[in-house]
Amino acid sequence: MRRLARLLVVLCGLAFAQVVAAVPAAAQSADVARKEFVIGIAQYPATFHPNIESMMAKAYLLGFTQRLVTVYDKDWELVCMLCTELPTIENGLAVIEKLPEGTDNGGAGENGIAVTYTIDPKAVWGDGTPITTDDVIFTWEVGRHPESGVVSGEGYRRILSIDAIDDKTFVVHQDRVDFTYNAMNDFRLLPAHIERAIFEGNPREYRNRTAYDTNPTDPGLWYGPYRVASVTAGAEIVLERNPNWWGAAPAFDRIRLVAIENTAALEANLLSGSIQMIAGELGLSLDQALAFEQRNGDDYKVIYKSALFYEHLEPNLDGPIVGDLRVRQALLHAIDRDAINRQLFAGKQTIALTNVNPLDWMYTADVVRYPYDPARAAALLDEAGWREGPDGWRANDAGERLAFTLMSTAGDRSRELVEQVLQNQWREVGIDVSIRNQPARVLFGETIPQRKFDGLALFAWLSAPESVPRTTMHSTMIPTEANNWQGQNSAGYSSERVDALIDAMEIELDREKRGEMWRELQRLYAEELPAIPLWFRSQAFIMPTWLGGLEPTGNQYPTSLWVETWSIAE
Amino acid sequence: MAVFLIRRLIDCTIVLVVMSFVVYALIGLMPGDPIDLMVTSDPTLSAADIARLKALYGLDRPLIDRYLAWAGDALQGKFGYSRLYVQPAAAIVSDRLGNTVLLMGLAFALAAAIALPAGAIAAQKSGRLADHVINLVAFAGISMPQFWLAILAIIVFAVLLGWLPAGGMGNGSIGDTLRHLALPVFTLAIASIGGLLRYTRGATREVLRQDFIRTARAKGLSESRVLWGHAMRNAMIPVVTILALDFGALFSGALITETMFSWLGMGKTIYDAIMGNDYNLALLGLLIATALVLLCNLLADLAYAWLDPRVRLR
Repeated sequence: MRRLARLLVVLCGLAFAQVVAAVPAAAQSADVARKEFVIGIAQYPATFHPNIESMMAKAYLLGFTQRLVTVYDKDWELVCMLCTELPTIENGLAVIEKLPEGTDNGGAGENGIAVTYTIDPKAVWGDGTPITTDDVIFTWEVGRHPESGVVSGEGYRRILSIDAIDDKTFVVHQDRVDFTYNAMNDFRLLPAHIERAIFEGNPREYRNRTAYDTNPTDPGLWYGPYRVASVTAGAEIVLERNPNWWGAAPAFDRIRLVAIENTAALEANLLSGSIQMIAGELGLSLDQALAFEQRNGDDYKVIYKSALFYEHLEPNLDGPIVGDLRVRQALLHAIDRDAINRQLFAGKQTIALTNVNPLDWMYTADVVRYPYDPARAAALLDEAGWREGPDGWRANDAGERLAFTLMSTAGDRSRELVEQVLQNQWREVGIDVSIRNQPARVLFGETIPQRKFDGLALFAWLSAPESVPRTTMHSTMIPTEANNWQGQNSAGYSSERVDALIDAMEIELDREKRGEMWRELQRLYAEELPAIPLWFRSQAFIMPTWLGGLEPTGNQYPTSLWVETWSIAE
Repeated sequence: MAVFLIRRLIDCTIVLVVMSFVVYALIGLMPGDPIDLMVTSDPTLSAADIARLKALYGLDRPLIDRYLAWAGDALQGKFGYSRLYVQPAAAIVSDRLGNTVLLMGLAFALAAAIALPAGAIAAQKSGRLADHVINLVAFAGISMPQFWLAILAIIVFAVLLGWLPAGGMGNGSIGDTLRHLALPVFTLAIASIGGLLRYTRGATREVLRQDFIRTARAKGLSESRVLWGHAMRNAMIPVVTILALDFGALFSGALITETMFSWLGMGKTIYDAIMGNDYNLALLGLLIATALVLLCNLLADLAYAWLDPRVRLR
């Protein structure tokens, strides 16, 4: 019996050694990929309709199959994609105009703006039907209809009217003038020749009957380098070249998007050659990617890009402890962010000074800094009335211990690791922090929106380049029972000066003046710490070594929007 | 027999009605609704958008009103649209149920084909080398986490050896589907062999000690005839209960295996529906799973009567 057990142990050991030393089937040859390139994604889109629901998996798919009117590129500059020239006040394609009498724009001033766009003359739907202003007007009608199911209707409602000058040129009349006047990033065109009859038949049922979900392989729905060829709901989407695509020809005949939600399985599929690339937008977390690179880095190309995921500690400012600025400053001084970044993330995260990413044009480093300094943290806590007792923990004069909870998403390994380090580093200065994590749907469905946390919550905000933090910092955006928990200012931060800056910068068209406002906002952020900044999360793109031309954007617009620039190295 | 069947079917219907309300209420009481979840992925959503979408999806109505509306439609065979897949919930469930039947059915058959005879042999050879080896395998199956086993199987058979695909559903041809089924079926079967084998071994050992077995041996029957012809049929009575419960539970899917191998089955569908607040899909999936558990238990009761003529169904 013992001999048998010994034999089994040896066999298991050998198998394990084989597994550890696994040589990846790795990046399949470029020739195979030229015919069919297989990309693994960790999420499957709920609907293919461009304007109903908002999720990254869908944005990634639409990147291959559609083109936005305008978009923020890899340099975070607004550029034309479907239009021929970006309209600006300077080039005369945007003109400020007086609003018609009685226009209700929520007090956003008396002026509106008329912005003229021209659609690329060569642009056609996948069935050869030209893309025209009729499609633009139909998309607007669907977007502003209260029962269409379009998620974010604000952008459509701000449009007072659209004038069709001809088949390709149209003028959008907006009910206010703000610096994003020429951005039509979220205005995703719908094919009027297919969708109009479905929509007008029953607008309330449109979201269930749209051809995007009932007949997604209809070529007339798509207008990118690829169109949808076949769909296995929940599993994979096969894309084929769009013969009516008017731009540069993409490198691959077909692209297969395979949804594998478990990231360990995603990695194993890559190693087995079942997939050839893991999309950075929807793939491995940074720590997983780093571990993967360490094991298999020679066989794959791994690119890291700092993204607009602002990882931070949101305080509940109504709480007696973290509501005190000196305590928040002490907390930040007591965190060694550089060491955490180095040890846990191989230095790939971008340390945040405020909520503005260093890649954003209005970023400034000229703000109050909080270097790792436990002595300074201790002094600040003393000043705030939290003195260290004989047991090492701090307490106030009433004998209450300096203790609060730290919450985050349960099951997120990176965040759980960070929480443990934070707990230890704060313990060094006498702060007693208990970790209480919740599933994402509880944390984001109730705890944070309804401000049911007494200390800090560790999570991230995703934003766009030059995103004005109205929803997260303006005092009118504090969720309360009275406003039915609307708004994302869960910290409860309120500052008249910051409110005034946010209101002013939204309507300031002069980039230099706006830049100055942004710099003041960042200075205030660093001084008042409405949230404790940690870092901007990086995305990891794992691809075959022969793939070129893929340039991560770091913003919410996925790399697939530029698929025609992806190339195969000979 | 007919009275028994009618009574059990009425019981099943009552259980299903109660379950439908309990499940609806539990999902409804979970924090956050679909629109709250949308807000977390799109902070630009305005208060007006949120109110409009809640009204559109009927989420501004009391839970009981929503349940009654759903139940009224369900009685007419309308189970509504899946919010996650934007397709009729019934269509999604029927597809996934087929996949689950295939995966679980094969895994169950493989597990039963190995566990039942192995358990019987272990009982017969109790305390000997064969018993120890079989027990070792059984305990390995019971104690090995499915997640780990799945990853190991993928790495060995897909990455190292390249014999089998790492996951997915295949292109629909029989050969390719079987290739894609191999690893998940193996993983699931290994996980259920252990328990089933131990139950069979225990039940068979118990039966082998009984008087009628001694009588059978005294009559000069061979050991294999005693085991397979007399002991096994009697040993099956407690095992059938376990089989029925296992088989019913199989239809609610195996979340971990389906997730690891990207197999589109009921387990993952129900899980995603609950987490995504897809009421229609979650309800239908859970009700079908419940109905199948009830049906399997009914079949188990019928099997008792067949296995043991002393059992009378009334």
